[in-house]
Amino acid sequence: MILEANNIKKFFGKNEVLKDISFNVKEGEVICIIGPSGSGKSTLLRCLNRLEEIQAGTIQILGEEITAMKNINNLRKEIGMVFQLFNLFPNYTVLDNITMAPILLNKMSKKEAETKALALLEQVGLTDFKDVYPSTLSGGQKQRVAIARALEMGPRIMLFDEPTSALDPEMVGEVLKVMKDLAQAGMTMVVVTHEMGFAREVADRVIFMDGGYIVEENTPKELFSHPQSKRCQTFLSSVLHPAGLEG
Amino acid sequence: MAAYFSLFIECLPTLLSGLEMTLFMAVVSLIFACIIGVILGIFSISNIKWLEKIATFYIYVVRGIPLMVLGFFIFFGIGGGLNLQFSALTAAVISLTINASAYMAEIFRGGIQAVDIGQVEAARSLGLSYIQAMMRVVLPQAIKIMIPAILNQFITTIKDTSILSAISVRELVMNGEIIVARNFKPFEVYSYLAIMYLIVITILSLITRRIERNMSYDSRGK
Repeated sequence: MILEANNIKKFFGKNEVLKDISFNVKEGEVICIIGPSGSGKSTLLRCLNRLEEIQAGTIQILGEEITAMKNINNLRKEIGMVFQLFNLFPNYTVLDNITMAPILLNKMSKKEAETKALALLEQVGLTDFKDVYPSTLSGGQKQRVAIARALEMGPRIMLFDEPTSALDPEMVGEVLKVMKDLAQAGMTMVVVTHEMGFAREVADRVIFMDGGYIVEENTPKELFSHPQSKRCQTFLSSVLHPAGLEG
Repeated sequence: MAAYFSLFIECLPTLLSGLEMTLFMAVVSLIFACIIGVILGIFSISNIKWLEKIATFYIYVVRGIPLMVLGFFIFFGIGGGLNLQFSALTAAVISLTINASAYMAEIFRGGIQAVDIGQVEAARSLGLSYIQAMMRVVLPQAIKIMIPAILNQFITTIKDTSILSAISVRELVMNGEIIVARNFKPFEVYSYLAIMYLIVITILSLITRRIERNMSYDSRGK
């Protein structure tokens, strides 16, 4: 088991946003987390690399209990994170965005880092943009650079926090394609997403969250065609058949 | 007109020695103010409550006291009253430093807080420590945001040195007053002072604009 979360609780002040969450991820698995806004999906993901601290429960990643760690920096190198708003560093070029961390942290020499970065840029189709600054890129290009930046560290697991939610519709496909390739290459992935097509096609398991709980967890085939709970049925029918667009 | 210029040439040595003192005071106090300002700025964004309180209190007190009162208090009150015997120049530099550092602290705090929190999160999730994220990602962006405000503070401090003529530091204004007392030509002499301040501040603005341009990393930049 690459990730094991047991009975997580998370509060923002008095507001309990995660209520007794337990789930696990096996090596090579792709998990998609879906659910309405405010259901706690993003918060859950952010707890997994301790961008948010949990108040109860345990999270083990690669066999290490992350809540007990004094210094999480080393483990974070094994956990790639991709954000909704990209969070590229505007003061570095595309290439430097990717190579800055591994060079600074002595994970690779400058030469190794650049060779690997160029290969990753080729993988995401952005070789020509290596020397530009992020402000000149489109949203889809920025997100592909952000994915390359996370992959450069050689993570064992990748966390995606609504990676296509801030993109113009015509750019969603290019990012999902990169993620699909990554999944097919065997990367372990936890993806918070509103892209039901992606979840259905790529995920090994889909988790449906609502109100801070995991309401349902199943294979995409089962979950999308036979949702068990009323809440999941309502959610799926509203995202798959938006009101007003029928007929 | 010719008389105006020839009087200027005549006054120039005295004015220049005053300008030298003005710039010396400004440069020395701004260096100290930057150092203290950075420290206080870090205090005020730290999560340690009592450090934050120290910074808040310092800024609150210093911003509430006019520079001239501060200068009088340090020179006459502490220097004279407690018989510590430091020069007017020392008192002036201390006053300017205290005054400017409070504003610098606010500039640093504001600049750092203006950088999107997502930048720290991205850096931290790559495995950088808090300090590394600050040094490599946040500060370079924050400094760019801060430059106009820092320039503004530099200009303010250069002009504020004139207030310290009140404790008889022989800076530009003081020397101007000495000349006026001798030749009774306030129109000419004070206009010389104004022009000299303007020239210094213009040069400073040009340098800053160049720095800003060199730091640019948007689409118009490199």
